[in-house]
Amino acid sequence: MSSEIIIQTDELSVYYGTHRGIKGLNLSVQKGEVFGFLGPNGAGKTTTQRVLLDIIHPTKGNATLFGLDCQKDGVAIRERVSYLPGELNLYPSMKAGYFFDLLGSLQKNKPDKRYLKRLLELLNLDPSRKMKEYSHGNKQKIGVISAFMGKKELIILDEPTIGLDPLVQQTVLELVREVKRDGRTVFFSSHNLTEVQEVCDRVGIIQNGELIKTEKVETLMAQQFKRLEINFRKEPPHDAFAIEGVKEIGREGNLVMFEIRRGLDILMEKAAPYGVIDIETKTLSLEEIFLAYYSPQNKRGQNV
Amino acid sequence: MFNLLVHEIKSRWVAILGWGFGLTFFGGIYISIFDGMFEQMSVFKDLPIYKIAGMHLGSVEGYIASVVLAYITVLVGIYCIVLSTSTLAGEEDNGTLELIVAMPLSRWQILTAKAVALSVVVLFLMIIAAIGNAVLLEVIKFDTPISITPFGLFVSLISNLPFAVGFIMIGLFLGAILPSRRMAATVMTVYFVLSYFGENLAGMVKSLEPIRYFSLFNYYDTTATIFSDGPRLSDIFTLLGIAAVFYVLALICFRKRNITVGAWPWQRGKIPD
Repeated sequence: MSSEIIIQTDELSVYYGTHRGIKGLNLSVQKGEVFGFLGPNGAGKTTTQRVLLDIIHPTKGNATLFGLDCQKDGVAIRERVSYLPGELNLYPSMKAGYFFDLLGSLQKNKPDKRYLKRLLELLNLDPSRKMKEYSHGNKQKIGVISAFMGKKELIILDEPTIGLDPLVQQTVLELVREVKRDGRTVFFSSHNLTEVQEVCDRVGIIQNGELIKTEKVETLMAQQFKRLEINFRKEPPHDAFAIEGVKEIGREGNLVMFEIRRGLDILMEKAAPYGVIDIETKTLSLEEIFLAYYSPQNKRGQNV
Repeated sequence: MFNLLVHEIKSRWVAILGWGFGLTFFGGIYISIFDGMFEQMSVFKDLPIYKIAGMHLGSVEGYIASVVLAYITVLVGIYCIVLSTSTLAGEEDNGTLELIVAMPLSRWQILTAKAVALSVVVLFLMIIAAIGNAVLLEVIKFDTPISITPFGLFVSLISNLPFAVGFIMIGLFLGAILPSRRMAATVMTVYFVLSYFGENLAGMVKSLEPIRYFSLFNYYDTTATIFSDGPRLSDIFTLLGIAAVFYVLALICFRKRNITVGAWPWQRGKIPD
């Protein structure tokens, strides 16, 4: 991964009337990176992507791609970027093959026909039919192919695997890895946290239009808390484990559940007098960390 | 940009053929029944209702101009409303405009490709309709003597292209400025109806005369004089001028527009205090 910055936003804000789209977004994505963009519905993920492509204009702040201004240099930027919208709408009467030709003809650098053929084979898509004849999943495949076929320097994917079966999802993720191996960059928005964990180098978590955390996936996974369940011989008193970094989250009789950030050794010391029968630990997935961010108690993710 | 233009034309070839032959059929019916119809309708030539509808039934040529030229112009105008408001506003509503705007094309290139393509589509269908009507005029034999030549009818029909282009540009402008296709089509239809009846009413009521200048119908001659004198160049240039003004306005609005949002182009939202 190079240190060259591909995407940079500076205090980027978009408002629809007085409704918030995104608010003071400061984001930076490096070359060769697969950047996961996570957030619940309405958080501002799609708005961010549309601003990057100059589909909508910011209310305040600015965004640059490849060091070029999204609004002033939109054409030069879009020559180097391909995009899969989250709400993919295709021309119902158009054949998929014609659609790929049309998109290709609007590019300065025409797509490699052999690569397009390979994508069609990989995703098992027959391009000779009209869009309205395809299932939802096949329409999504058309969107995926159109995003990858140009071999652009930056690929912006908004929920790329939505509606695809697990096998095809894996193929799409493999295509993302292939792009990364080529040293190209992917901006990957998804609700499927398992796949984000699988392919992304870093993730940005956006909530209510604000970027609340940007972190390497591995760091986020390493920083995470663990869940621990201890089965005691006799029930400990409720104030027995007032330890910094340890939070009791529930108990069922002699079984006590903890969330632990640090202080495991102190917990073990304090647990011993009550007779530890069994210990079970659980490492949280990115999905659980994500849910912890968005839980009502952790509105800004302070506890994570 | 050229590829987008070609695509826009190719995607409408069925409409070109359908409307071209449809207008031929429409004009052909009136031309073929011309002898009997003219006699019957000329009895009522002074009825206000015909005048409001823009019918000039005092002569054979007036009848042909009224029923063939005027009605074909109205039909072409209706098609232009559908065509132009479905192009930017309709594509935005359908979600397909997002794909095109994400391509390495500037907004002016997209708008220009679409504006030129729509004009070419109407040109093609008018050529088919004009040739078709001219051929029918040549083939069908009439009892009533008629001074209109097939070529004269062809030129008269083709000369309504600037009128159609004017409507296309107004439609594109409305599609670029108004939040939705529905609004654009509604405003366009209201303007179209007011233009048509306003123009004819202005001819009957002196105090309404100024309305005439705001109607595109004022700049396309649907009286018998078009067959004898040909289309007026001043009208053609006026219509092209109006089209150019609305093209520029459409361009300004489209450049400022937030695609997919369905808001006014200048609407940028407000950051709350």
